[in-house]
Amino acid sequence: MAERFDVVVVGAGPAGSAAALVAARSGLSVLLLERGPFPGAKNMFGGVVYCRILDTLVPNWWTEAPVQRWVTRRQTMVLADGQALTVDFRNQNWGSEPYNGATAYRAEFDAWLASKAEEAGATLVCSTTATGLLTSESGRVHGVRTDRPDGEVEASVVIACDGVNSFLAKEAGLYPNWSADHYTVGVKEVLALPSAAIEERCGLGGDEGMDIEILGGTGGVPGGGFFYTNRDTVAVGVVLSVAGLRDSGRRPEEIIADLKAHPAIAPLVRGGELVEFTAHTIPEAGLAGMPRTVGDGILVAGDAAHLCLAAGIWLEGVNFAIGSGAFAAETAVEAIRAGDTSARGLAGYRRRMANSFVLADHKKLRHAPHLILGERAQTRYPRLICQLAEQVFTITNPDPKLGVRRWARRAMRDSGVRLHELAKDAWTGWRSFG
Amino acid sequence: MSESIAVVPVRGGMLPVGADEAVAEAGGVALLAGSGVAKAAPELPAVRVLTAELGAPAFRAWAAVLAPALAPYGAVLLPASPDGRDLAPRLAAELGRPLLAGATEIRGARVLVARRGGLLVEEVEVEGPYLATLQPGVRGAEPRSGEAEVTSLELSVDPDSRDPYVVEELPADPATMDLAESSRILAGGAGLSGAEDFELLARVAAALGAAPGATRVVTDQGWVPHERQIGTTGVTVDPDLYVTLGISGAVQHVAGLGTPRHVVSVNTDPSCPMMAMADLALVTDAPGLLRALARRLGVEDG
Amino acid sequence: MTEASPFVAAALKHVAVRARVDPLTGEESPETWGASDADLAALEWALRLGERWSMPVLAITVGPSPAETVLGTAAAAGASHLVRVEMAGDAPSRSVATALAAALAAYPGGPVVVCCGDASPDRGSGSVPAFLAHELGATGALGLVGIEPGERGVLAATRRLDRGRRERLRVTALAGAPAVLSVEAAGVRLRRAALPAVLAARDAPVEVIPGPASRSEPEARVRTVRRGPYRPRAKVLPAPAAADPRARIRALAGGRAERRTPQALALDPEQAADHLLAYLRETGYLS
Ligand SMILES: Cc1cc2nc3c(=O)[nH]c(=O)nc-3n(C[C@H](O)[C@H](O)[C@H](O)COP(=O)(O)OP(=O)(O)OC[C@H]3O[C@@H](n4cnc5c(N)ncnc54)[C@H](O)[C@@H]3O)c2cc1C
Ligand SMILES: Cc1cc2nc3c(=O)[nH]c(=O)nc-3n(C[C@H](O)[C@H](O)[C@H](O)COP(=O)(O)OP(=O)(O)OC[C@H]3O[C@@H](n4cnc5c(N)ncnc54)[C@H](O)[C@@H]3O)c2cc1C
Ligand SMILES: Nc1ncnc2c1ncn2[C@@H]1O[C@H](COP(=O)(O)O)[C@@H](O)[C@H]1O
Repeated sequence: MAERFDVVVVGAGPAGSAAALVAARSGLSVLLLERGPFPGAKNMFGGVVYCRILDTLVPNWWTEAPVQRWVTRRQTMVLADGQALTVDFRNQNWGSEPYNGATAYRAEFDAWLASKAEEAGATLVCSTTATGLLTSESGRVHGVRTDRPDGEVEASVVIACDGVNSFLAKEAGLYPNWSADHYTVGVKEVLALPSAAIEERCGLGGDEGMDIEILGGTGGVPGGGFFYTNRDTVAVGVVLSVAGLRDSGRRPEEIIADLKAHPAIAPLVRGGELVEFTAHTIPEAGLAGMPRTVGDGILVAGDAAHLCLAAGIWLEGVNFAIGSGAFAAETAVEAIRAGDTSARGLAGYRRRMANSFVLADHKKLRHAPHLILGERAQTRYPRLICQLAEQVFTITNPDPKLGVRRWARRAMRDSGVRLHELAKDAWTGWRSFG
Repeated sequence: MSESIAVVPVRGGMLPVGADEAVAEAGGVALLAGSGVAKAAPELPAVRVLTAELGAPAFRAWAAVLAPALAPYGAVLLPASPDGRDLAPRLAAELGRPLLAGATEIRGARVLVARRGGLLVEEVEVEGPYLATLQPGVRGAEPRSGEAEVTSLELSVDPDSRDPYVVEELPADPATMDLAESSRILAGGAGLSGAEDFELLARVAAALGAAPGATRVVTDQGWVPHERQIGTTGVTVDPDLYVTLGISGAVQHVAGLGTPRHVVSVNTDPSCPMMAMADLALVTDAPGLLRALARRLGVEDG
Repeated sequence: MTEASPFVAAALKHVAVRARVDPLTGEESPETWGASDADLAALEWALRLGERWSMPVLAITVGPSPAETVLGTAAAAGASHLVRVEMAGDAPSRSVATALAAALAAYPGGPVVVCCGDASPDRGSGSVPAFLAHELGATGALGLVGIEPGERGVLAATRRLDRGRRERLRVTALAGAPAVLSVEAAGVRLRRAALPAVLAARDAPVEVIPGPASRSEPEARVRTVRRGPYRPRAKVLPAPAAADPRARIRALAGGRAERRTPQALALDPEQAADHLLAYLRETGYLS
């Protein structure tokens, strides 16, 4: 006799725990399966959680979530050889309730969110991998198989939150046009530094944090970099196009090493002792590469549904994972109550996402990955921007200053940027970010 | 504080690892208990030796008869060998004394004890007499000079005591001998993973004219037979060249190492004890380096 | 154990299986909590003995309430009775053993065999099993790498000795005259629990027994004054055996004189391999 639950959620990452939390809170019986020995055991990310989405799920989450530092300073940095131009924004309001973003360790954050789901009544079972779907002849999903003896579990709805490259979604036939080009790879190092050094180098107070998103600095491989501060470690890493990395023949460690050696980054990481080196695939294609998210008896959320923005200068995924997980669970609850858990009965999921930031942000930024990962944004624009800055800030006495128009023309020529391309990219950018 | 004494369990005249060090740490006073004690006594750097011929190991019974003879001594030390580790708590219980297990140094009432396999050390202060087990390999000992004064104690153990019955003793596998006698060793630890890595390690070792070795974590996983284990409960080696891949350098491992002339250590953690011992410390991924070596030596495929 | 059947026990410690140790301060940051591999092996042996001898298996831990997670693992794998003795997590060995012994001896039916891990990852003394054997008046067979259960109450065991040797032991155990075994993580893996058992284990009742309020007398006399990273002490080297004094000096100094300043290099694996081979060439190991 297989075990039976109303909902089986596969994967106790942010998406899965949010889904389990919402479904359990509605009084359904929920099983949350996690392959790691505990939630977050092996999960990695850059380091910042944008928690606004938690306001409705866990009121006053900031009083209990395991946070490293509250982000009060964000920088966007454009790097070229030996040069950097930084936009630096500091907002002291982010350092107090209701907060904006926080750095956190996944091992702690994921475990905490999963414990919330357990408190709500979900059953969490770790060290257990879902190895396949139970499907009827018609292809309807009615449970999962696990790697434990007697490991089949029946469910009215399966919510696949098994992360990027979800093989449950694949098995359900929801990834019709899978391609390696839809992915980037994230690689990061965690370096231990005394908290006082971190605070001094980044100009931070006690529990304040800084994050830097970096454009350029990946040695020509399309991607971006990041730098985040935890209490007594900093994370520095890069997100790289898989195809670009392959073509470059370089190793990600080398690219991080170069980034760390850049004069804008080196002073921040100096003396840091390597305590962790991890890599993870990221779904990057935006809306274009998104799989189907609804099948008969199955919903897909989080990275499994490619709901992640990692186009160079953004690194957001946890918020989308939590949002989509919660929507999936609401939909499952509604469908189970209505007695129809077919794809049609579950169709409300897509609508819920479309009406929220989850799909709206992706729609808005659907051209962004292409733009940001394009060769121009990767090498020519950083060079252009840095060169422009160089000319503006270099005193050329006794020669007179050339003036912005001529500086710009010279910088464009030197960096190989053409006006019509710039105009086109500016338009795309405006539509995306404006 | 009154005098110290080392208690050394002896099997068929053979001393346990770390016996000489325990005796030296105790200032040259020793009690040898077991079988063949008279034969073993002259091998120790002792000035005064008590011997008790007690037969086959039976620690529960031994503890009961040895305790009175040890009561006058302030500090009772045993080597942290398998037998020493088992006898010590029994003696501590008989004597009603605290046991400081895994000590690295005895300084009267202050004792240093290793924790977490030797990553950490705790300094403890003891009031009154105590027992301690001393990690083999941490201090070394000069060989004895001159005759020791030997007194034999006539003690007899209770034959009905509940101790396991020793069916037989299995000698070390002859395969260990080539490890013990190798002048070059390439050893791997938990920084490598899986039998596959260790098969590759063996090939790379062969290409370098070295014998392959491993830590206990590795032999416990079954990736390498137990006979390849270096350390206090493995084989004791004394090579000229010792190259380690992904070994942290726990005391119990390093204790099995003599004094190699050249030590190369590969580890992602630059501050672990093995790296601190190394002449060349390479901070890098050990499986990656192993593969790179195999390619350069042309032994990638078996 | 309504009819108070004798039982096989597994003593499991909830412990930081891995920890990061700051090389400067020696500060320890625990990483993964749970039962050590050796304790899981002990549990597996207990289950096998229980099956072989048709005896229930009791899992016991001494520690604060989070320690019950290791009992959950045991219940999922097949332990039918779960006991936790309430005590501070850092209680010293003798006190832990006393608490274990009292709880086991008082448990209806009485223990026949108690399986322990050979050494815990944090303190790692391996002395709890020996003290436990003493307190229970039991036979102790410690540091085992293999167990072969025989007929009820009899087993053969292989124990690890030093210098690569082993010994084979025969152990007899009865209710009232039990045996304490400590096993290494070698040879066995804890069975994989079935999913229904994992789910059922979540509701398995744990009996909580109050432990002794204070440390045992001898241990109260020990006080930790300092913790720090391990630093090797200078080793005494035996004098070289060479006949004339000059040869002896050369033998002593030679090994060291050749030594260059230690080098530490962070390199990628490819470069590191080149560097290593170059070093072996320089030092004459490779031509
Ligand atoms: C380098 C890098 C930097 C990033 N930086 C940020 C950042 O700063 N901020 C941010 O918001 N986002 C960031 N992201 C993105 C973010 O990490 C992801 O979008 C987010 O973790 C997705 O959550 P999830 O729950 O969908 O999937 P995951 O977090 O991947 O969780 C999936 C879970 O499912 C489990 N699992 C998988 N398969 C199975 C199975 N078959 N059976 C049982 N369990 C299974 C896994 O063990 C895991 O716990 C970053 C990503 C990377 C790679
Ligand atoms: C009574 C007793 C007796 C013992 N006897 C012995 C004995 O005889 N012999 C013995 O060896 N042990 C013995 N031990 C065990 C000993 O305490 C240690 O647990 C063991 O030596 C550790 O082995 P390790 O270095 O392989 O593993 P760990 O201590 O886990 O170290 C692994 C190392 O690999 C590094 N690493 C991880 N990943 C990588 C990577 N990708 N690239 C490079 N490096 C990496 C880590 O930084 C770490 O330093 C004994 C223990 C006890 C209690
Ligand atoms: N607090 C505890 N609770 C239960 N068992 C323990 C406890 N401490 C030690 N043990 C057992 O004793 C073994 C050896 O531990 P130690 O003597 O601390 O090295 C462990 O592997 C456990 O089986």
